[in-house]
Amino acid sequence: MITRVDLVADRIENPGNAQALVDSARMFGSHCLFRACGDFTTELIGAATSTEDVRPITDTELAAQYSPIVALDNLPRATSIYGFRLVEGPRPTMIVGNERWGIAHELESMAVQTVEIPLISRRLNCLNVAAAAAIGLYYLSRGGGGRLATRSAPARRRPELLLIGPSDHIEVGSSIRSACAFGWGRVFLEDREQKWFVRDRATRSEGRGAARRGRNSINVVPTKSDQRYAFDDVCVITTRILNRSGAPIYRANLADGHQQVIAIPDESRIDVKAVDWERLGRSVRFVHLDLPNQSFPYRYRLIASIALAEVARQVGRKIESRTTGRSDLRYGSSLDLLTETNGEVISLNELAVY
Amino acid sequence: VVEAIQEMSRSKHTRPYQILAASRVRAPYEPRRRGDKSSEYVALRTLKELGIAPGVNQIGVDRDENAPLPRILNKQPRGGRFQPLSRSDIIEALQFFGASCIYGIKSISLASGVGRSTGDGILLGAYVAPGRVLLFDQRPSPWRLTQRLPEVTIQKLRRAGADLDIAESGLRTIITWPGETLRAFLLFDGLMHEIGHHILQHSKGKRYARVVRTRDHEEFADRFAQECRARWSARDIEKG
Repeated sequence: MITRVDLVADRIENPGNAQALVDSARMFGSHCLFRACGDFTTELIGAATSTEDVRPITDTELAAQYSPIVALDNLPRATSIYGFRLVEGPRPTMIVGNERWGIAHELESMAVQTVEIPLISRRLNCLNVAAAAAIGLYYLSRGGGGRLATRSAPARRRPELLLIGPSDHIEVGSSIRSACAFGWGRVFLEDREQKWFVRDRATRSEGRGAARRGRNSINVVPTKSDQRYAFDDVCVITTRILNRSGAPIYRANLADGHQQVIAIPDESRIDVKAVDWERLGRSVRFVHLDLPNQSFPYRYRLIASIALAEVARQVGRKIESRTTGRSDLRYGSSLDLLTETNGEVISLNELAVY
Repeated sequence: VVEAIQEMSRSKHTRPYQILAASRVRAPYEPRRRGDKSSEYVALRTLKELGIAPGVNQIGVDRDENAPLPRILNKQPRGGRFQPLSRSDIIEALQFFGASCIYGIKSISLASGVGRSTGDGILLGAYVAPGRVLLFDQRPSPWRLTQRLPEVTIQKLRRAGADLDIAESGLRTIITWPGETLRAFLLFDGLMHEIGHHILQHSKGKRYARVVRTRDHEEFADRFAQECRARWSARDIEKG
């Protein structure tokens, strides 16, 4: 059973994120409400194609109309979203916060429960707000799904990841950010549209910025569309049910280790049926996200992030040691490398191109 | 008078680390008075009472004997990688630098870097307190990097004798290790650097507690490694 959970976005600053949040809510047939914050919110909603299901909301309206209210933020004592059971109520809603400051304190105190998306990376401690909202809505609308697996060696269970043909540099950047945050150290990228491995400075900088490349040390490996691989198992993530044999993502085994590859094609540009998937490996499976709404504006980062969250759930985390012994004191020596430059000098003319 | 002062025993707790290490590493389970003049006199008196007159050098610690070495474990490197340092290289270095570099070291592992987080760098080694040193496998020369190198790293590599070819404003770097430079790099910036961490930690008598700030720990280990490199070079010059 799928529950409709509405989305409340608190003081969102970036119009791109606002539009992505609206698309995220539409994927699940939910309303997207922006917490009123002066004229800025009105402009933001204007940018995000204003309709009835997208409107501003005040704190009083929120408290009066919605129950239960759940906050999605990585706050202390937040519960994992995996396996989270929403308390019963007439109109559940989920709040996501500002990109930098998170959820406002007054909203946080209105929430009856706080949930977080468990991340593996130590350097990236948050996802893109729209990607996090999509993951939150996905699990809350399904009653939490399964719990986060615990394994002795989760790294051996982690499959390889292949991103195919993303059509927007921000979308691919955010997807790479999600991959790193969920613990991948390497991602294969088939950059058909040349959105990541691109010479145009503005596109490259925006993409790298979306991926938080300054802190994101993931290794992005370029591949070609005619490159052949010999994986044992190929799982293609789709948003549609292509054939009867296709399983929903929560029923598919997505934690089979390095001999398995999770392929996430951009379905806004790629016809999944027309692709020769046999080139990647012997056995090909189509896995669908089982979304409640079949017609929605396609956003690559949302689809990829939901898929990565589910794979990360199945891969799991290490069993916590129950011994209360002293932790190791450890010093490592290494040759330091810089993943990307953290800043660049640009002129005003160049800035105008962004 | 000078001779008499030199013969006087010092307090056990103020013996310098080098002297303490030399005796403790050879007799780790003996009581602390082992090798003292006082115990030597007691032994001599006992032997004399038994009617035995021993020679001068028959009692006391033989400081010329080689100190027992820690365990050296050698694990299979990852595919396409190798261990620049061999077991005999490590033994030679430890015997040259003496007991202070051996005291308290439990094991030195030539480990594979599988499953270790690389972060933003190339892993050389690690020190796990108390007393475990890990040295990781490396790619053979030349190393081709597609990431920028900080200035500190560039200087470190040049000091170690590597040839750096930096292209595309730092985005592509080829590091070539001529001759034995990679082995020496791992010996000093890997092994001796980690032993530097150990000496600082061990000389303070702490096992798990962090005795100084991490930055100071690293500085000490770097300085120790550089001193070791200088001593090693001086030995090579003496050998000709």
